[in-house]
Amino acid sequence: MGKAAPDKVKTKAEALDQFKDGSSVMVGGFNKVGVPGTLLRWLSESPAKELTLICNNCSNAEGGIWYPAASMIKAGRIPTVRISYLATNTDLRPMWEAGELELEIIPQGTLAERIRAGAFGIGGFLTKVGIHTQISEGKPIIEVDGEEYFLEKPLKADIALVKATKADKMGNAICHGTSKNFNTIMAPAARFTILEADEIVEVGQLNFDHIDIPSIFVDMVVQSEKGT
Amino acid sequence: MEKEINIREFIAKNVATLLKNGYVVDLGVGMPTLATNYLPDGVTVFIQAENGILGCGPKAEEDEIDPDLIDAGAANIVCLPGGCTFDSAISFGIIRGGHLDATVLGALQVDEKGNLANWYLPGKMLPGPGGAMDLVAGAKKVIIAMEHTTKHGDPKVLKECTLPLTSNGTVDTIVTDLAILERTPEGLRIAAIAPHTTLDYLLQHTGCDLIYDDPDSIPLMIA
Repeated sequence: MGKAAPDKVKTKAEALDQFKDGSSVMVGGFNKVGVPGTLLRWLSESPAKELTLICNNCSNAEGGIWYPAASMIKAGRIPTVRISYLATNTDLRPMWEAGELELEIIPQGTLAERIRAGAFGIGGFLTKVGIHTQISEGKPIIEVDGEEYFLEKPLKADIALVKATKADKMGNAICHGTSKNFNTIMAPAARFTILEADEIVEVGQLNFDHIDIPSIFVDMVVQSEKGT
Repeated sequence: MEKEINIREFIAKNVATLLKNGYVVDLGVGMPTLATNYLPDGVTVFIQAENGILGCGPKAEEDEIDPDLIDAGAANIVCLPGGCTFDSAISFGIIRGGHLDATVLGALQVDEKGNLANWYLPGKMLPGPGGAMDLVAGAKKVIIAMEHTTKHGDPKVLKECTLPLTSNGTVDTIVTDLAILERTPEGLRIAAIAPHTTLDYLLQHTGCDLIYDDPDSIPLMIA
């Protein structure tokens, strides 16, 4: 694609312009790996509020990579959270039980597959995970070949914040090790995707056989700042 | 319960006896992961971690830490030769798709119908399901590793779980500091009993009926 390749590398100010009140925001990462820490910090520095956060986990450990998002939840700027693993954030249970937070608790694989469905034009999927528990309450049960499943709907977002180890300037990206996690599926599931990379290279420098996130799913690339 | 017995090690050792050579397993944090330290000679298992790796090796030494390579408990590990990494959709395709031979997880409660509760203790604790609901729905064999009673001495093996459920009837085996219990259509059967306890003590500290044949010939768990 050579000279015609778009340069999607943008500045902090251009990224901040994308953070709007009322947005739903997907954030990649599992535990501390594959988390777009620079973008989370920028999001917390923006005035955006009334946000919905969609993520696997969001630790409230002070100084940790998730802390900017956790402090936004605590401050009421993120009134809705769709999440799977809550053990590392001790604010969530008391806030939820007190009615201060809308919490959708989602089994981790269901979260991944709902995002995948949202990303790829699939109108939901049938699963047994959590059937006849609180998770399946109010969702249609459908029998297929004598087996009971229930319907889980797709998940999409206004913005996805994802992390890669290495990206080229048009947004093709490689996620090393266990940093692929939710990044590869969230990138295509949002209306606008910002990818944060540890290293940004020229177009053509990545091996096309080893791309985890194809550039078509990436709208903006930013350089990860040291320490995140 | 004799205090000198290390309960966690005892449970982990007995979980290890249930893992067969060549199994692909996903192990919860804590006692389940500890089980791999006690695999008998000649038994090798392949460990999948739901954050996206098959072929989890041991903890990384200081000079081999790769910050982007962790297991589901966030420990820095190495990836064994032949191992691979993948995203969460594939990882849970492995889990939900029935490709795992077994999973071993902790629990707050288990009941005689094989129901499991381990994601929410109202007013006290909300760990969330994480990958547990997917694992107990998808793995071919579901093994629960836990202490037999709560720290207040209340039974955790019950006639019916009272906490919000993680799964319905998917638990196969329960390994505790007192017994190994197997789910049968009739209820929970004592497969083995701890050498440091008695049948009376076990029955008194269990919240449902247990099935056994000759009380004097119940196999012993390994010490």
